[in-house]
Formats: sequence, structure tokens, C-alpha cells
Amino acid sequence: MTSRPIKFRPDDEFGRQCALDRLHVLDTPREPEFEKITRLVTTIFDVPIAAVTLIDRDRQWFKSVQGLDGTETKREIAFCDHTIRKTQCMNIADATLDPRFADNPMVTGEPYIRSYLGAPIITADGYAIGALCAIDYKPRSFSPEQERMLVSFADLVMNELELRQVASVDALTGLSTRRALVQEIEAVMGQQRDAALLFLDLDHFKAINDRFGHAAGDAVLQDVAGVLLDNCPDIATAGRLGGEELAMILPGYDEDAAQEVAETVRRSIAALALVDYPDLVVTTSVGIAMRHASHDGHAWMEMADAALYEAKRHGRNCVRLSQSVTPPTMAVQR
Amino acid sequence: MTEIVETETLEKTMKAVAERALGEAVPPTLQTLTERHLEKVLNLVETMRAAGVDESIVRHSIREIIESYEQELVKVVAQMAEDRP
Repeated sequence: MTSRPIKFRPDDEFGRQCALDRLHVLDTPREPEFEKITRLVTTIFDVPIAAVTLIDRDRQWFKSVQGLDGTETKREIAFCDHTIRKTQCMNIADATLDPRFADNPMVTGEPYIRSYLGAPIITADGYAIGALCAIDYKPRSFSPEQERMLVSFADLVMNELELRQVASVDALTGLSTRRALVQEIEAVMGQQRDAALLFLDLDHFKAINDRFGHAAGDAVLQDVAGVLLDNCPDIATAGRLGGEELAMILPGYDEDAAQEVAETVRRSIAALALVDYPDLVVTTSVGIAMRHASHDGHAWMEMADAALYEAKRHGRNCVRLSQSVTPPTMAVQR
Repeated sequence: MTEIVETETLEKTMKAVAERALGEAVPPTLQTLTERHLEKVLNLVETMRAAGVDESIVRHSIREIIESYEQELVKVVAQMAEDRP
């Protein structure tokens, strides 16, 4: 029995990083579910060190670790960075005899790693985001049966991570929830690069509900969410703020690129043909605000909302880019 | 819980865990995840036995894993209810 995904993507580092970022697990506190798993691994494998590591851009970060101090190491010295390149375990009987690791500072110095067994933690879409590992101070051979057992534990770690993700997905649309969106906005705010925030509001949505019923309203939201997801790059996040208000966060996008995405989404929504409601025409207004280093997440959202208001004021079914760098409430305070 | 590692008992236990945490109306996404979790727990039991792990440790491990999964399910359901638009 195996639950490893069929399509493994070892060479798509960009997609792998996006898959890890989408889990929103980096730098979160220790949690008992993962602590239990690493403790069980130390007991069952009779090793002094066990860890759930996640391989970030330039570091390995420990979601849970037994027998080691600290929360992270540089990625370049991480054994687990090698583990994530295959679907099966990496099994090192004596690191001092392995040319990849003999000079590794974790082998030549503290904690003097000698043997290592690591199983990749793989997402349902085939990205190895980290590893579950068992480490010993002395050379030893881990058996093929122990390898399979560690893979089973790693699969459970992935399931726990997926379970957390369910809570951040809106049940009706499959988009991120407001809570997850705000969390992502704050995370992107902290990055030193361009980013765009799109706020979308379906035009005359109340009239759709009144005329066609709430089932139609739900069908519209689901189809519109499909458009957003179809046009949502790996690096981006699409979410539902509430009711018929939706949003997209586009990290790394400048004004032109963001406007292009917004226009594509707007046109695609206007072209929607709902199977059960052929007479129903859906349009959306879109407001865009670019990230400014001086703002916090709340101010950024206010700017996008003000741009959306402008789009509504200009007749709806259009895109407006915020021209101001001052959020409306701050402008009022002056 | 002594016979928890028998497949049929484990299935019943996981079902009971899901019902306690989620009630009768289990959201489809959680239903799928819970079924997948059961499959993975069964797989773990199989691989632990194949590796010669003592049966009492197998039982202890599965109990720990199921308990923590139930606690997490409760948290997730509470958050989903809070976030409903």
C-alpha cells in the first residue's frame, strides 16, 4: 500500500516554494500534533534526534524537533534538502563516509550527525516541502522496513498540514477565507518587493439573488471563483472576503501586470455562461492597490477598497487602479 | 481501545472521532481528509508491524495519533464555523 503521489515534481523549485507558502506554516508555534509524531519517531527508531523540517528558500525550519536546540539551520547544510529530491527515503549509514556530507559542519561539529534517515513530506500535488527525519550520533543501518515506516509517518505529517489548510478554504467557493487572505496580505506586506491587491465586487449581486434565488447566487459565486482560480498564478492567492466580495493578492506584480490580470478576470467573468441560468449576465468591478512600504495590511486593503469604489462609481464592470498612496482614513485624519 | 489496531476497529474508531468532532453533517472536504487519514494510519500500523515494532508500542502510537487528530478536527471545525461568511 502506498499513498505517495503519482506526479512528483522535484525540479520545480518555484512551485515547491509556492506550495510551502500556501500552507502558512512557516514560523508558526510548536504544536502538540507534530511534537507527538517526532517523539514517537525517537522512541520507535531509538534515535536521539527527530524532526519535522520544512525547506524554505534559504533555510530549513523545524516545525517540531526533538534532541536539537534552535528552530532553523541554513539550507545549504541541511540533510533534508537532499531528501526532498526523491519520493523515497534518504538513508545514510555513516555520514563521515558519504562525500556529500563528510565535510558538513553538522557532521564535523555539533551535533556530530553520523546516521540519518529522512522521508520527504509531499503535498497532494507532488511537491516535497520538507522531511521527517531520524538522526543518530553513531553509525547505523536503517532497514527497508524502517524506511517504509518513516514514509508512513511522513504521510501523516502531510495529512495534519492539509487538515489545517481546510480551515482556510471557503466551503462554497474553494477560495481562501477572509482570515487566510488577511494573513497572506500581512505576509506579503512584509516582503520587500512589488505586489498588487485586487478587490472585486460582483455588480448587482443582490438583484441576482432576488430575481433568480439564492441557489443561482451560489452558482454564480462558484463559477466566478473558478475564473479567479483559473487566472490565479501559483504565487498568488485568491479569496472571498465575504458575500460577493472577492480578492486576489499578486506578489511580485507591478501595476501593468496587475492590471492585465484584473482585465482578464473582468472579461472572463462578463463572458460567463451559467448552464442553469442562461439569461443571467454577471459582471464585476475591480479595484487595484499597489503595495507601499509605509503601509500596513489594513491600509493596503483600504486603498484597494477605495479603488473598487471608484470602479463602481464609474459605471461598474471596469477596473480602477488606486492613484493615491494615502489610505482614505489617513487622508480624513489630516 | 486495546484492540484499536485491528482494521475494523480502527475504522469504527475513526468514524466515531469524526462524528464527535464534526457532528452528522460532515463537510465533504473533511470527510475525504478523514478517510485518507484512516488509510494512512492503517498503512502505519502495517509498516510498524512489518518493522517488528512491539504491539504495545503500536497501540500506544495509534492512540496518540488518533487523539491528536480528533483535537485538531475540533479546532478546524470551530474555525470554519467562525469564518463562515
